[in-house]
Amino acid sequence: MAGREKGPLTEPMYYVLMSFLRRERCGTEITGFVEEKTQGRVKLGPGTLYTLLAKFQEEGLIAETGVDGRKRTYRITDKGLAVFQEELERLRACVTDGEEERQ
Amino acid sequence: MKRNKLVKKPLPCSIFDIQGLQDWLDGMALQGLFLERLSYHNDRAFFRRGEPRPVRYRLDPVGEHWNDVERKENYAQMGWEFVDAIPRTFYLFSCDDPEVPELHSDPATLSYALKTLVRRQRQDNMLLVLAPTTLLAFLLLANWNEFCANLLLWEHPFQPLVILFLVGLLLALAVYGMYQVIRLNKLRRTLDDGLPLQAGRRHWRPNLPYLAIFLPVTLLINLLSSLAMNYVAMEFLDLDLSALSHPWPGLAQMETAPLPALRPEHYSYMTVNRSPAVPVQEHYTDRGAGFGKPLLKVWYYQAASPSAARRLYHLKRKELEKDLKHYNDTSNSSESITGLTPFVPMEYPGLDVLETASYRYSGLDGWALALRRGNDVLLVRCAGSAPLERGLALLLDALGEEEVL
Repeated sequence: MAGREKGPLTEPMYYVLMSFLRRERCGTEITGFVEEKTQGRVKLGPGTLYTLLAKFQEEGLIAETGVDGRKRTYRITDKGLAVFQEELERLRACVTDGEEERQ
Repeated sequence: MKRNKLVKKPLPCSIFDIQGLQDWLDGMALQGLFLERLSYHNDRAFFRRGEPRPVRYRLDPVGEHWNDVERKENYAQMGWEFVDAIPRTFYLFSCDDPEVPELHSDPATLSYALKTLVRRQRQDNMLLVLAPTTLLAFLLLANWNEFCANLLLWEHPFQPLVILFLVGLLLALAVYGMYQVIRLNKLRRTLDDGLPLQAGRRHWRPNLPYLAIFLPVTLLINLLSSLAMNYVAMEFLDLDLSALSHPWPGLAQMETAPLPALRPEHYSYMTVNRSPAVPVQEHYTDRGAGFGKPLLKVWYYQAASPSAARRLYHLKRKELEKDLKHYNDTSNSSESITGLTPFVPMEYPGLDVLETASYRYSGLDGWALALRRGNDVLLVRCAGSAPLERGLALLLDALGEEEVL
């Protein structure tokens, strides 16, 4: 769980980090991605989005790649990828554990 | 015209009660009052009247950068309009579209956003307490001797109480600041646990102008402090040597020759006071009319214990030396002197300490002495009258006599 204050990623954190896996994105693109990916289940408020972008930047999980007027784009870093991978494995283990118990 | 007039309401809760303030503002919108601006220092919110409708108001913690224009524009793009800001604390945004997601949709992220605010609040509190504490400490240290002397003599008996009150006020400020930080940290823990925020209890707030409360209270405190600080317990009386504790000599007794030029009734006076540490405190000035005439000033203290006498001697001897140096350095005062020699210790039978100095006062020979004997402390300035040896003998004679009071 390197790079984070404590505990696992929350859903919004997880999906924001996920949004950078394929390409660089700006704020509005991230919101669109999360909405589409979760079919509207996870709603990303602007306060949450911009706080997360600042937090991830501070923790070195993402890096700013360009500024075009008020539009800033970001990419995921190696550290960000590692954190995402770690979280993915944790979630996978959670699902496996749940399924095992249900059978 | 009336519709354009802003409606002013006192804030019903602390600004750190995020949910409480949001709920209150949302409720006001349902009553047709829409937030226009929020004056934190005046503890008031100003509303514009309109048709009642649901509007959400949300607080967004200020991050590292104040007046973040980029943030405001980005939020506006996502349906949240900037309304006002509480300096260094929160931005206030509103949204009247129920479909737009909450400003903060993740409690844990909001907790992170509050981190900077908590740190800033802690720093502000420290500054708020440290700055006046430093000032108070500086003032106390700069006047340390006077302060200690006053504790012994109670010439200004309310002065320590005012200082105690100020220290209490600083402590209350520190406790209040710490309480706010504790509340914010508790809020963060709640958010970290993914729990929704709970609104705190609302205060009863009279809708009086802020100044109507603040101004009279401040004026009253200032007035009382000023009266207390300036109150002098000493009694100022016409000189009557027979009313003092010992048969102290006046100028007439100090002189061997008659003093026709003296008009002591115009320029002579005495002061008396008492305190638990120094039950007998007397001062008298006996002087001729005008500049350059003989002068006698005597301060006598009888302390309750030898240790109080020692402390008092140290303070008063220092004060006398300081005054003499000041008069030696200034030429335009009626008390100006020249040729001051430093205090030198002298051996004298029966006395614990005796120090003397000499000077010239408008062409007259002058001397000063400070002595301590057991619980007694005596300080004298004399010019144009008896020499030191005779003056000292007369004073010690008087000191040896039984108290007449």
